[in-house]
Amino acid sequence: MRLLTHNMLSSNIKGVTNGFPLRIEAEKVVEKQVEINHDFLRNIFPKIEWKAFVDASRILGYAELPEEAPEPSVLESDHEFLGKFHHALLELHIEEGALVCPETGRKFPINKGIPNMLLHEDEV
Amino acid sequence: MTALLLRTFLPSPLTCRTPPPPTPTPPLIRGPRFGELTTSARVRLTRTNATAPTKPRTLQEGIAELYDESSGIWEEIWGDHMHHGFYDPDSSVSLSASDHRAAQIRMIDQALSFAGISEDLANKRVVDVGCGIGGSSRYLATKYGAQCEGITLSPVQAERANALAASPGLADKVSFQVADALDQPFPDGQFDLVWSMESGEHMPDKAKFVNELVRVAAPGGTIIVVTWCHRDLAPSEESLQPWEKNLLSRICDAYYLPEWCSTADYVKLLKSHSVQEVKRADWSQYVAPFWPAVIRSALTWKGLTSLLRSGLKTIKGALVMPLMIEGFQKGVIKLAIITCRKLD
Repeated sequence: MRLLTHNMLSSNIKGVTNGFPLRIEAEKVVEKQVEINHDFLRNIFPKIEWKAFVDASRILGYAELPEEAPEPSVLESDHEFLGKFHHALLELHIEEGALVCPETGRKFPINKGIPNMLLHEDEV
Repeated sequence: MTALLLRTFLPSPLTCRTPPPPTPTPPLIRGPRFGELTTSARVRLTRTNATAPTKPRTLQEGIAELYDESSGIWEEIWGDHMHHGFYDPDSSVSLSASDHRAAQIRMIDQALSFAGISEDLANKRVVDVGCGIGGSSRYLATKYGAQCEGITLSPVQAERANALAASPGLADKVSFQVADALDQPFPDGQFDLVWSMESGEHMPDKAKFVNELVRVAAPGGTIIVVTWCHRDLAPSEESLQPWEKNLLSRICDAYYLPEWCSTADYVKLLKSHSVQEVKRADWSQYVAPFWPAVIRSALTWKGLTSLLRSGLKTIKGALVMPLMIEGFQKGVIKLAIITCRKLD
């Protein structure tokens, strides 16, 4: 599961007011090389919840991203930043671990890179 | 010879109308078009409409189990699109496998065109609700440049979907997770396009299903649902005719679907939300070659051996396929498309 996906998922357990972002418990993280696509990065950038993204990347051991989201114009020319953004967003994969609801602490397991977000009967 | 072989496995004639057993037990689930596997027992289907009182958790588990077991067989014979093809009404009967695949792809293009959004999908966010092994998502990403998140109840499908997406230029654009369409794990307003290609028929609670589709759509976003429905009821009708209900119930029985609803029901549900431009169409005439083709594929050597490997319930599912054709021919079953746009 990539951090791009993590940035889109939230806990939808009944009664939870803010289920985003899910906390990460990473047991196994792998790096998978993905060809960089600058246009894709420029397009996706405005949709990323930056703080959640930076925090998540730190948990996975990547500390290169700035705390504050840069101005979009930075993505036009700063290839170094684009590379870091790309790496954290798409190349770090949580293979095994869990996503944790920030309010209830309930764990959604990640197996073979696939998060299981199914709710139990009493959470619906 | 083939008929004889199949008949030895058929426990009772297709026309036998045994009533469903009285006690509620884990519900049935549908298989892919020519077969399915399940270990669940039967359920008593109720008369009420969409909100049938089957236990959602067990139906879910059943669907997951079913697709975990059978997706591979479908993919082997039909490929990665688990939906009807879209054909010209006067197309010849002798279509090849690649014609059918092209028709399945055309279905996706036609659905986008019907909703009026073919041109605008580059870099837009799409949720593929009931994504199967990701055929639609990968196509939307490759051809239209969309970024897709797929959800399925089946871990095996999610894994296969991810595996099929592991190629350059695609791996960053699509990803798949195990989740329930009735409780989507996304915050509100996330997606420019909410895509449900023939998954609606699995949803035991249509109102909740539609609720979620609308919730996760972004303001101004588009919702596209292509699904199996029964015909609309006339103003004077309270329900389908008994023979129609019986036909559908035998299909639900073999394919393990919850109760069907009509296209009008979907339109009504959508209109109860803040949406506009609700459009609907009956595409039954454009999918007519599909079931005969699935039946033929089941009767090939490869199809038969797969079925025999799979077991009695798979075979029963295959034998009920003529009921789908009958349903379409008699106007009971419709392949419907319903689209709308969420208000800004």
